[in-house]
Amino acid sequence: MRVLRATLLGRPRTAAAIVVAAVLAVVTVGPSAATSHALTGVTYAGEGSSVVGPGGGSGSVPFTSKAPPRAFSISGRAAGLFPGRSESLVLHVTNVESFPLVVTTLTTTVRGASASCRAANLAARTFRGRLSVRAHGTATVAVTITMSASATNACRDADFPLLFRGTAVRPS
Amino acid sequence: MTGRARRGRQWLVAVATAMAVPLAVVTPAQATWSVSGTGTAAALSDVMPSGTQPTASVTGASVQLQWSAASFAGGGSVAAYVVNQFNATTGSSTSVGPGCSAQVTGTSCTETGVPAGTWDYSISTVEHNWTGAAGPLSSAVTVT
Repeated sequence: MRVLRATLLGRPRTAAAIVVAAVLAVVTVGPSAATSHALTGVTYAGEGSSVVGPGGGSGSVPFTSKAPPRAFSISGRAAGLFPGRSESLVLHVTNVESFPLVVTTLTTTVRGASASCRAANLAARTFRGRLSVRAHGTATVAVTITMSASATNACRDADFPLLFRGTAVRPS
Repeated sequence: MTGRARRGRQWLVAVATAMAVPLAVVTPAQATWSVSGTGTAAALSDVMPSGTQPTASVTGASVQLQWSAASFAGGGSVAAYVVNQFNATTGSSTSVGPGCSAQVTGTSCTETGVPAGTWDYSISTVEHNWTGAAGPLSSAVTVT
């Protein structure tokens, strides 16, 4: 019993305390990092961190936070499409954050205009690059949108809903 | 210092040290985050323009037809046209003869071998699979 008591109160116990505290600290730091960037409402993922204490224990706590709908909004409009015709779809990216962003991808998903004029009749290119948007500012970029040459009469005077999704990073 | 006090201080130091370690480890991850944005809008297709009114003239058994190009509201002329022929007396549609029977990519054509009678013509538009309405009828022409 005396031997056991010595082990618990000696260095092994100190090492265990370090490991436990380290894991607790990671759990605490993850969410607070999100708050410090004012990303409430934005879904983002940070990389998991691994901590190894002096006692040899380790812990890994990936953190993910769900937040507001967006850090930036995307809008755009295209018109004048007919079979085989390509038009510029000018996308306006508005940064709602108080820090600059660099938009790296903008993807457009086309929805069908009607039951007889399906989404496959329209194709929009994806933007991949680096589009800088200043804090609370707006930037524009054009992507090509093309109507299929095989579009039928059902696609005349049609209105295709477009959904945009983009990703951005905060410049270092 | 008593044994209890010493052990308490050991715990305090251990916890403070361990809290500092992950701060240093997690900070680099903050530079890798990305944010997302969304939005909605619409893409509008054009209205297919109707044909324009042709002019018709007769030379023997041939009828020369001319019309102006039909354009989309958003710009660009239609790719082709279809000539429609009607008996001006009865109003019934009839087959168009050689020279104007297929899709015409220009804005004129000459129909040959036209039977005797009085005829009028209209022009419809074509863009790939899209077809537009026929435009106004031409003045009637008589082939004798």
